[in-house]
Amino acid sequence: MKDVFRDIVGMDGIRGAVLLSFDGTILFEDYQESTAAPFEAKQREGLLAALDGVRETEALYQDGRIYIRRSEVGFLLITMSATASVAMLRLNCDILLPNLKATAQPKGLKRFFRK
Amino acid sequence: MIKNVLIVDKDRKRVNVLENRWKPFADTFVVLTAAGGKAALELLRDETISLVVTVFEESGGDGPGLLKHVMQNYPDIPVIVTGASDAPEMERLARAGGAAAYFSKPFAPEMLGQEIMTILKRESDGGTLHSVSSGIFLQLVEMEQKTCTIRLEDKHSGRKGVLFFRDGELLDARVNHLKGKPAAKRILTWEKVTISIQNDCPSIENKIHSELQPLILEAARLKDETALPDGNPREAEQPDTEEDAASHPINRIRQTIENRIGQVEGVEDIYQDNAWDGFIRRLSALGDHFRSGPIKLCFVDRGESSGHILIPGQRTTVISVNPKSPHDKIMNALAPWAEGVASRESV
Repeated sequence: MKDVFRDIVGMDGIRGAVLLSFDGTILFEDYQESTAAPFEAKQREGLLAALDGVRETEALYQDGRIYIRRSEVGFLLITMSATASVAMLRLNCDILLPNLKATAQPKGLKRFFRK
Repeated sequence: MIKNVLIVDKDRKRVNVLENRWKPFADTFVVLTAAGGKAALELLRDETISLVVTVFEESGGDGPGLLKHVMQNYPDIPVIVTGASDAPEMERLARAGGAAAYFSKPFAPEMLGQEIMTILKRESDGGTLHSVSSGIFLQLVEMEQKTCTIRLEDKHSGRKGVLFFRDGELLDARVNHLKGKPAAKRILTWEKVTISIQNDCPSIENKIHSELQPLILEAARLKDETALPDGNPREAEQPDTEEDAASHPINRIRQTIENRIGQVEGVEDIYQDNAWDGFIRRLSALGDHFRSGPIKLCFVDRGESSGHILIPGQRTTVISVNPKSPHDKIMNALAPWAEGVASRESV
């Protein structure tokens, strides 16, 4: 999964990325800077409840931006500087996110026992 | 129409508990808070409040005075009083003063929330209509000689007003601090409104002394005078003063967009709506978590025909934009302004 996000996390101004599954599990996280506190389960659940029905959101803060994009496996949260290009990020997500479904397939014998 | 419930209580902890426990009612009402009587009077003047919850303290306080003020000046707004359980005199005082209900402490916040829901439902016991012309509907009320209290929300500006009818006669009107004829004329300039009908009218004196038709004509004249050459109204309503017009967030947003990026395609509507408050709070917490600082504004796409730019404030401002609209440009243009709003309101 790290390969899928390499292009995104490597973009200018990107500080980090988190992929949250729809049940709140952290599927992937990668930061260039550490966050203020661990991403608590309660906080993740609250955020997911607020994101119900949201396809994409972009928030502008005093010291940066956060872009959130729904994918087939969950929500991708990307934190970046205020000057990072959201248009370029959106384009990268369009290209890379379809690959997530394949990456998220379970490994081993489980994949043969689909419901 | 999401209603505003004003809690007047200096105990911030208690207010936080109520706010948290009333989240399940967020589709019906949102909470505005005031720590004392003075702040409450300002909110009653500037916002459209549907219900007030106040406290009667044994040590005195603003509660009784506030109840009296609401009964005299906003007789359509029900007041719920909370007070000590071992003080029957307090309950008697509250009931005699016109309180709609009295809750002895300690009480379950959910019970109080349910009582608020029951009272608020009465506001629309005669039904609710969306996107109707205020003038045509109110003429029907006059013709049918109805007794009712009608609450209206202007779709364009998000402003709310209330009209009082007894036997088809318009007795009074209110839009924020504006009352009587000026308020009635203001309401009648609103073209598309959402209307809630309550099938009774408080005992109030007639402050209008006019039939509806002359008021409608006067409102139409006011609207024509301020219309743009293309026939569109300049604003959905006449401000009380130039200062009011300049400071209204919706007008300032329009002006800021126009000044910074000129005429933009795809801005469908600008209004205020507290229904997004929970969403803004979550994004704000996320910003704290990722050390991004206070939120200025955000864009949300829910896969609908329109996206929304949200600007936090005491009331969240919503800019509906269609896919043709350059929402990135609009956000960048509004960012310095939105930051100003946030810092002003945090003072």
